[in-house]
Amino acid sequence: MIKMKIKEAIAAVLILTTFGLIMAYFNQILL
Amino acid sequence: MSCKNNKIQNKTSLLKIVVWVAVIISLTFAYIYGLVRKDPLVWEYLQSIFPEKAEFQTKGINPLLLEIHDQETREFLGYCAAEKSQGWGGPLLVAVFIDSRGTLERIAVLDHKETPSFFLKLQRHNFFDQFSGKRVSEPFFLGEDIDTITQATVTSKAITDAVRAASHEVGRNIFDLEIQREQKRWKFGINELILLLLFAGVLVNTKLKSKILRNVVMLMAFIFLGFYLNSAIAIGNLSQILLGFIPSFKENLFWWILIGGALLMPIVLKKNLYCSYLCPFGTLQDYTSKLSGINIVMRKKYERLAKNIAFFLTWFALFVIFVTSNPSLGTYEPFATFFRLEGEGIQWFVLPAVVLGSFILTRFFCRFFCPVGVVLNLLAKSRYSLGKILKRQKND
Repeated sequence: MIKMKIKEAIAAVLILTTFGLIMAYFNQILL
Repeated sequence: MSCKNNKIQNKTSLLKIVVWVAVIISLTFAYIYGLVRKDPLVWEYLQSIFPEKAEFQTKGINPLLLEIHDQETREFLGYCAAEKSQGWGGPLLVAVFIDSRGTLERIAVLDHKETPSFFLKLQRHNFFDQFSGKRVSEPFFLGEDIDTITQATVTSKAITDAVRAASHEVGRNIFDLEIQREQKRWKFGINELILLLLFAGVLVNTKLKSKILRNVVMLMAFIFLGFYLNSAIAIGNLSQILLGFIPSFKENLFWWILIGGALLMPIVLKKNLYCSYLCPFGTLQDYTSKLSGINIVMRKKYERLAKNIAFFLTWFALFVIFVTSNPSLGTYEPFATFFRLEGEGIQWFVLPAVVLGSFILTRFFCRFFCPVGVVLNLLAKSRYSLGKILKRQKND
């Protein structure tokens, strides 16, 4: 269970980082 | 217990309806705003690119033809003509500056909706400089007297078309030259043929279900649509249809086959086969996933939650595109950054994050971020539901 949670945490970090970067890209191109 | 479950279900479906209504209303408003927003006039653009104080005297309206004088000395500076043409992302507005002897001094792209990477490519290869010094009566044909820039063929062709139309107009109206109007030509070459073969391969494999054929088609599309042409479908390509920026069928057959094929498959076959077979970025993620051998499986509730990011990004990208009437502004997919190694600023951070993610989560970008996947899957799902409803009605 702990292993699963760690894996999910890694996935969440990657997903949120990429999302943040894409939004930062929009910020770069629009402003 | 079941009553509680029903209540939760009702709340979820109500929330879904509210979200969908909000999405449709906001996109409709953005679309209308984009339509009614006035584009700056050509001379506003011209004033901004002319360093000296220039005065423009109109000589013709369609297309726009101007005589330029210095505001103070009244000295004649030259002629300017502006013409529109259809690029990869939408219409382009190009101005040509011609001296008193009928020689092109320079050209300027006043407005465009192309992907920045295509434009950078043209600038880097000095595409615009080729026109300087040419006579107005020259043919201006890509591959003949103008060099094509590979991987930005549609954009370079659109600019050349506009330059030709504008220069010839000046030639006819100002210098009284007899220049024949150009007839649109059919453009069917090796690229269109390979693309048709790829689609044929996909269709054949829906019956054969051969793993080998699937891998061959995917590899070919990876090389051809990815590295060779950098033509993976992006949200900008789909939204340009809604904005009415549709290129000519005769001259841009490739665009029609690619976009038409990708849209027809979910509508006719109820399956989004473009993403699973032809998208080169999807194939790249399959390869990285195979290479690492790792696949983190998330619990369903988290997976569903994360997938909402793709929906949000699709809505946001479409909103930006509709408000600005510019498909390239909403195109955030890192396709060109990977296949062409062309990008600006943060794009260089997005790509490594996506590639890293695809090593540990299969089809990382497709699942959580791809707007094209969202649109094509929605089409397939809607077509599937419609088919079911029609079948039920027939049975009743």
